[in-house]
Amino acid sequence: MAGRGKLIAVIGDEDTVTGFLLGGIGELNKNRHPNFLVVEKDTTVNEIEDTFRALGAFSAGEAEASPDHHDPQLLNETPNRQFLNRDDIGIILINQYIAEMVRHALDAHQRSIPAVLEIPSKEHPYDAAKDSILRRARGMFTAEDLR
Amino acid sequence: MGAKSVGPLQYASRMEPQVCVCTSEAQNGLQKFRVVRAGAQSPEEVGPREAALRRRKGLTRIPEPEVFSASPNPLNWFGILVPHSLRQAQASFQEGLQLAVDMASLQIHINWGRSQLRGLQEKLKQLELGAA
Repeated sequence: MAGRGKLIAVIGDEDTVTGFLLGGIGELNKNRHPNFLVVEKDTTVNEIEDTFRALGAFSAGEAEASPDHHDPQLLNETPNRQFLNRDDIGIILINQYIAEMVRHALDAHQRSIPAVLEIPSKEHPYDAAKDSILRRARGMFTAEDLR
Repeated sequence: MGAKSVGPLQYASRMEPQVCVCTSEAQNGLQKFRVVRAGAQSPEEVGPREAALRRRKGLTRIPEPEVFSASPNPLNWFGILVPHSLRQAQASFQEGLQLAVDMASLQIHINWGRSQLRGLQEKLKQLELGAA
């Protein structure tokens, strides 16, 4: 497992997740939580936040024992598959409209890896003004620095 | 094939990632990502060798592509015959993944640049204080 590199995780709407899974990034087995989360109308902000946080932060040993999933519907009901906590995730792809729901969690994520990439969805085009990374970069220079 | 037949209900219950990323770090501390395709060999690579082996062993059975793929193609979750548009979608997302990995590397570069800048601004402040 050490030799194969890090996973690409995705938090997105149905079409986004299906697309990237077609691309081959999905990992789903009974030993670990899946590296993807389909966000639907009834997905709570807490679920999204839990999933995102655990994907990248340092683990406080909060990982749950993973139940044996055979029903894809259960994927959305299982909380706490925290992407930031795992050290085997290199990139987190997240639809920007979902990133907006958990903007505070994204802004709090300071580490370079996992890299969090905000991407558009079918219904919500990308807006650079909302992107956490670009907002931080824009704040790099104050008026004083440029004197 | 209706809209409902392409979605999470069709996902497999077991998945093995075929695409991962490796990080490498330069001397200045700058990291970047590289796409790594998991799964040992493509059918094209394994095919001829297996064919030669079979000839030596006296077998005449034609090797089937499915035997050689390291992990199943996610396209097969949606049936044996899938619409061409779904294949095209898969190809687009595969390209998109490469772009996403490149973008992630650029983001890391931005963050690295910011920390370099902060370090230099600190040094400058110290120098200005020292000179005063």
